[in-house]
Amino acid sequence: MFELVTGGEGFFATVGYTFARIALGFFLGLFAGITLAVLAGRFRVVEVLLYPYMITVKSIPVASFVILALIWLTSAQLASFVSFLMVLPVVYTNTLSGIKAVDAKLLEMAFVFKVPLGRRIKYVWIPGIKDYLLSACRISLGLAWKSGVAAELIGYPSGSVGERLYYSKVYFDTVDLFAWTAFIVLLSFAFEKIFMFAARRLLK
Amino acid sequence: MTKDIVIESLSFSYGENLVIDRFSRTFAPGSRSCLMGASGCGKTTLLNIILGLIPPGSGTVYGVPEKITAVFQEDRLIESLDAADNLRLVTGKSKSASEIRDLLGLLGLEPGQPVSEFSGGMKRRVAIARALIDPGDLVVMDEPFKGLDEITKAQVINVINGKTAGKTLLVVTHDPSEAALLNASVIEL
Repeated sequence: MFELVTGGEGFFATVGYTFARIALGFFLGLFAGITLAVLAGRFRVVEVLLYPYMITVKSIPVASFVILALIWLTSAQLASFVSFLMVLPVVYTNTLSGIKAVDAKLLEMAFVFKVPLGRRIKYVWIPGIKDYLLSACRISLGLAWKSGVAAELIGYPSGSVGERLYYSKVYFDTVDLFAWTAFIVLLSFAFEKIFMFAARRLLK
Repeated sequence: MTKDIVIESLSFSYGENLVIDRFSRTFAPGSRSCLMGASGCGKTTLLNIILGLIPPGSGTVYGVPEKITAVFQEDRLIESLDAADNLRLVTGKSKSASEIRDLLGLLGLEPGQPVSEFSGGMKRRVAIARALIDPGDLVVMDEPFKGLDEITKAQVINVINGKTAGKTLLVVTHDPSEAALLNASVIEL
């Protein structure tokens, strides 16, 4: 691991490349998942229409998405696309469950007292959804990393962690494999801790 | 200018169970009324229809003012907030901290203590304070004195009478003495 960091073979560029793409996919999935869940919570027809798509996305293997993405997109966008697809249904499903679990009695109170939307969101909606959303983030952060790197391994875009893992496979270089795996675990762990800390502060 | 609240031939049923049968009544602005009747006779349902929370089965309700404040059958407080913030949730910045503190003080409550640490009776008084801090043209209360002892109830009634003067007051109760203390006419459902 030490050799990888100090070896001058573009370690930080490689890590940065993969990290940026997985983070992008994660944030896009988070944003889309929350937006769609809010729409589905508000309009039942959206929930009904999205149901088969979400079930399908959840069930399709990562490898199928990767091949599809290689046909449709460039390999550089692979990790973002696959991470996005892994995060989206988890965030959507959990957030929608949270929306449905929001205390209807409090919503009625807010309706009668004509509490403005901003305060309703802050004091009624967010406290109701918070635990569901945080749980979705915790699950999907790990998923984003695992699926993103797996996608890179199949598509091996140049300069990515996945490409380095691919070369470990080709050359049977187990030392490199373990070192990169350890870095992925560390990065995923650090990203999760920092993100969850920020999210908890934001939703407090 | 507030108008009469008019209920005309209102009926409502839960499935086969008819709870309100062709009820008609007019509430003049500033009137004070207590709804009484046996459990399950539709008192809370009538309040919920007036509040716009459930649509009438048949009949009409009109003249309900825009600005309503209410004490619900349950307290419906934000448990993570303190008493003052529960009031601020509905008033925004229209009421000063001292006005909120004074009202809570009149009801024997501390503004800074989280509601989750309150007893049932204290929570009830916060719910009452929320309806009185900036009372609506119509103030609706569903069994507001649940869980209050006689001395506290008398204090609370004094505050309600003071704060709802000139407002239309509609209270659900099972106790005729409460109607007398609130200077309200009794409507049997």
